[in-house]
Parts: sequence; structure tokens; C-alpha cells
Amino acid sequence: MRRAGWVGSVGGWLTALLISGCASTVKEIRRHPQQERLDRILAAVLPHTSDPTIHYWLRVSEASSHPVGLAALPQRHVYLAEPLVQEADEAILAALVAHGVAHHRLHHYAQRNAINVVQRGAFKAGGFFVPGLGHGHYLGGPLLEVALSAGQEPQADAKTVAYLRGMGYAQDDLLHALEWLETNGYSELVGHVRAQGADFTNRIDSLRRHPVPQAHSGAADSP
Amino acid sequence: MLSAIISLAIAISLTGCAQTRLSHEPGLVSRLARPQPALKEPSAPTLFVVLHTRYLEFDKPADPSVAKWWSKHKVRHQLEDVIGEFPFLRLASPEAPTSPPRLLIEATHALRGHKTLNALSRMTHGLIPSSATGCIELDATLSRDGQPLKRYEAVGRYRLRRHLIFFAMPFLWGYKVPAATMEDTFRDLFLQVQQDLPTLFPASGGAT
Repeated sequence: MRRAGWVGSVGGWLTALLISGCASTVKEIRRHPQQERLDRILAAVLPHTSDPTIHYWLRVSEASSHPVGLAALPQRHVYLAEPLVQEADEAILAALVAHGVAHHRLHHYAQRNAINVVQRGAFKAGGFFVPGLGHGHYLGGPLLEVALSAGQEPQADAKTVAYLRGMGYAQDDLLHALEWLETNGYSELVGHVRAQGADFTNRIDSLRRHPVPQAHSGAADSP
Repeated sequence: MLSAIISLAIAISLTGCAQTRLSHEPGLVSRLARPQPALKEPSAPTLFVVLHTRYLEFDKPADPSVAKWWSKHKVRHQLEDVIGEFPFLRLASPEAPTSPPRLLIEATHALRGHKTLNALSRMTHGLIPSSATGCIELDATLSRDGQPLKRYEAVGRYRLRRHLIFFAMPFLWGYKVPAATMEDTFRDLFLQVQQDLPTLFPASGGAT
């Protein structure tokens, strides 16, 4: 029985790591020369959110072998990869910063965490009655994150477009930013879930087929 | 059997305590020899201090945890302690108007070291020894009317060592070292700001 528990635990961990994309690492560069430029872009996005006084940690991250172009991580962190910051134009950067802020304003990471805590508790409780079920959260957690992420990206895209319009940009600027990420082999990391390649294609198609209505309000910060 | 369970319970409850915090930097200002701020209230402008904090574990923003909560709480608490030594500083909220002189501080409390070794050490309750460095990094921007005037930075560090032997030596835990490091780093930053005040605000009395 104990052996089965260990096997379940190790198997669960490995699956969790595979699903969550453990290779996706983001390492911050302290005081990057482009930091002031990013701060200016962030300052232009914030007035279009419902609470412009909220602080975001917008930072440049090191280039890596698994390049993460944009990462929205806990404690309101938004990371942009260094090559991206140096090569992308102002509109693409504005779209990506606005997208990172949109994820945070929509509390996507917090929602996933809350649901993760509940499912973890449920699996642990189940483990009292069904041996081994307590380890189920290793598998259930990442699967749940992936499932939730699928619904959260379109919400964040719509919010991003609203912010961009407020800043004087258009929906096409978000599309260009997504195309840019896809073409240059970058991924987007929100919490533990990574979007890349075909995910970007699907989002671009979806935004082209169903453009965000002009009336969509950015300041309401609702999905 | 019962004794094994009790010892395991004690070990688990003490997780995180079986560590010692060693000497810290900058250590510029000792508690016994604190310099008196050169500028007294009426002659110095009032700077409104806005603090933003974050907690990084091995270069990544930490997930919600007790350690994260404790770190954020502690940094703010130590700032409140130190701010009293500098009469020209007032703690303000981010919503406060940006027109008066404002000192925006981004405080990072980061735990750095070998991630895997530290995780193993934690899992084995210090049976596998490990060490890490706690870094307090303060990036501050002094601004007026929303326009940045000058940027400052201060960095403090302390060493953290985890070993089973420290279970038996609570007097070595040094649990006040992180707080002392935070205080000293804030002092280091505020002393830099204080030095520049006469230059940045020549008619200092009128800055408020």
C-alpha cells in the first residue's frame, strides 16, 4: 500500500511537471537599461485600468533556451524577455504590457490558486477513504490550470484590446504582438501554464473572426 | 511508537526554525551608535514615502505562503520603525497625491541559493545541511509633481544556514537578523536621501 502511494506521488509529480512546462524559467535582470522605457509604457496603460494606483513589477527577463516572451507571475509581476524588449516596437510592447496587466486585473492567477487549494483539499479528504487518492492533486492541479487557462486567455485578450484602444492603439496591435511572439518562437507564461505556437494561432483567428466590440470597457475590469 | 510520533510532530513544527542567520550587511548603522539625523523638522521638506514590497524565492516571485506574508509584513514593519528616526519622512499610501515630494520605494526581499539543495534540506528537516542568502534590495525614486528627481538604491544581505544541529541550539537561530538587515538597509537608503536634500530642495522649508 505504501509503495503504491510513493509510485502515485512520483508519477503525479512527473506528470505535473510535464504538463506545467517546468522548463519555463524566468530570471529577472536587475536595472535593465530599457527599464525606464518599460515604466513609461506601464504608466500609459495604468490610467485605463479601474485602479491606476496598483503597483505592478514590470521587469526584463534573461534570454533562455525556452524563451518566454511574456510572463504574468504572482505578486503582480510582468516579465518581458530581453531580446523582445530590444527588438519589438512600441506598439507590440504596449500590447504585451497591457496583456500582462489584464491577466492580473482579471485575477486569473488568484482564481487558479483558489481552485487549486479547494481541489487539493478535496483530494486530501478523499485520500482518507481511498488509498492513494490524496496524491491526485499532483495530476488534478496542473490539468485544472490548463483547463482554466483556455477560458482565461480570451478574457485577457478582450481586456487588452480595451486598454489598447484607451491608449490610442487598435485591436490589430494585439494581433501583431501575438503574431510576433509566434513568429519568433516565444511563449506566454501565466502562472504555471505556457501558451505557444498553435495557441497563438487560435487566439489570432478567434480575434479576427470575433473582434472585440468598441463598447468593451477597460476600466470596468470585468471579463 | 508514541515517542517517534511526538518527535516527528516536534520536528515538523520546528521546520524553518532549525536554521541560523549569520552576520549581515551593510551593518553601517549599529543600534548602539545611530547617528542623529542632521536635518530637523522645520528646516527639512517632508517626503512622503510610498512602499511596495515583494518576496522572491530563488529568483521567482513566491506563491502565496506564510513566508511571503511574513516577509511583506516584516519589511513594512521595519520601515515604520526606521522612519521615526528621520523626521522629514512620512509614510503615505499609493493613492496619495503625487504633487508633493514623494519617495517611492520598491523593496525586494529575495532568498537566493541552491534551490534543489535547499528544498532537500527543508524536506529532511536539516538532515542535509544547506545555506542561502537573504537579500534586501531597495530601489527608490525621489519625485516631485510626478517627475523623477533622483534614484537611489541600497542593498543588504544576511546568510541563512540550515542544519539539524540547530534544533538543539535555539540561541543560535538569530531570528532577528533579517529584521536588523531590513532596518539597516532602510537607514542606508534614507541617509543617502538626507544627504541630497539641501541640494534638491534648497529652499527646504517650502517644499511641503
